[in-house]
Amino acid sequence: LECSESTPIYVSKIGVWIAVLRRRLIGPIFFNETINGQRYREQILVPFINEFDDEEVQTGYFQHGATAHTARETLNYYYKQEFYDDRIISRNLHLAWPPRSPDLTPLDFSIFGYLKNSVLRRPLHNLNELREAIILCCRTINQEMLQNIFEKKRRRIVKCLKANGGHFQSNL
Amino acid sequence: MNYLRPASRTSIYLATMQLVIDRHFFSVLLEGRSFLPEAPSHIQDLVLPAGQRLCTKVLPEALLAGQAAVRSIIKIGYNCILIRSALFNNSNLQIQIRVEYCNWFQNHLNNDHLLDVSFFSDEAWFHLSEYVNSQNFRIWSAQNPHQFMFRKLAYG
Repeated sequence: LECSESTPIYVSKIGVWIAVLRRRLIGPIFFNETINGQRYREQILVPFINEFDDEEVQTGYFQHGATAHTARETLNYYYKQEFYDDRIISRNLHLAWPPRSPDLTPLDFSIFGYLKNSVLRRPLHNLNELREAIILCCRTINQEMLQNIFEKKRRRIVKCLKANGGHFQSNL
Repeated sequence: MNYLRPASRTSIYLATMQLVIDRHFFSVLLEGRSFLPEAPSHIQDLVLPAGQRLCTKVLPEALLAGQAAVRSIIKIGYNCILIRSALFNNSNLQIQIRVEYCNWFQNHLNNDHLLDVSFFSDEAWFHLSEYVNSQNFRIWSAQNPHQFMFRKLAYG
């Protein structure tokens, strides 16, 4: 008897949210549902903001990856946390946010690739194992790697400018 | 492996129409002027004749039913999400914003201290089935993996 490959009806997947600085990595914070403004504030921003230190709040910039995060209430939330919007890089705000540019976003061009590559290498059987594996793998990312990543980002920015904002060949 | 169907004129036109709707160029479109100022000329050449033919068919219904209906017509009828993203990728506006961002980054954020305190955040879905959306992520390897990935066409 020949069996066809079975595919599950419900996709088992887990959402991971990470923020990265040149000196450390914040997260991973997990979520299960599609993120909207409210869930973003409750499930992600609150635990995230607890991780700030004073210097970061007062001088740092903050670039969003996804776009659902600029709901008005979210912005008000930032105001309350003294994280002013002239230092937030996101769609619809006056600081330019690069659209469709995974090659310029440190998390997309390196960290998520690295995580997926090492986490999904061995078979995982349920979401808890996946979660554990992601946490373990995040801990292996050290400061040296982060510095390299930001070095890469700088080089990519230069290349992107050379290509006048179009596609550029990213050599290893 | 390429799952992208060869783009028919209709689907390209519908893709651009979606783009037009997104940019609130409805009125310009109705007046029949060149409605794709950002698109490169070869796309315009392809789109305009096909578009004019289709205008008479799709637009009256679309106007009656509203933008949401147009979107669903486009999504259901034509597999144009990928084509749309290709169009978006090349549109001058996006490139302009990207250049602006790069310049801004070089002038304002290009020192170690600021990068030490600046956050770059993003979210991603990890699938148990090892599915990876390779449009969004770059995975590097030292050797050729000689591996094929079977993946879904678009979202879902």
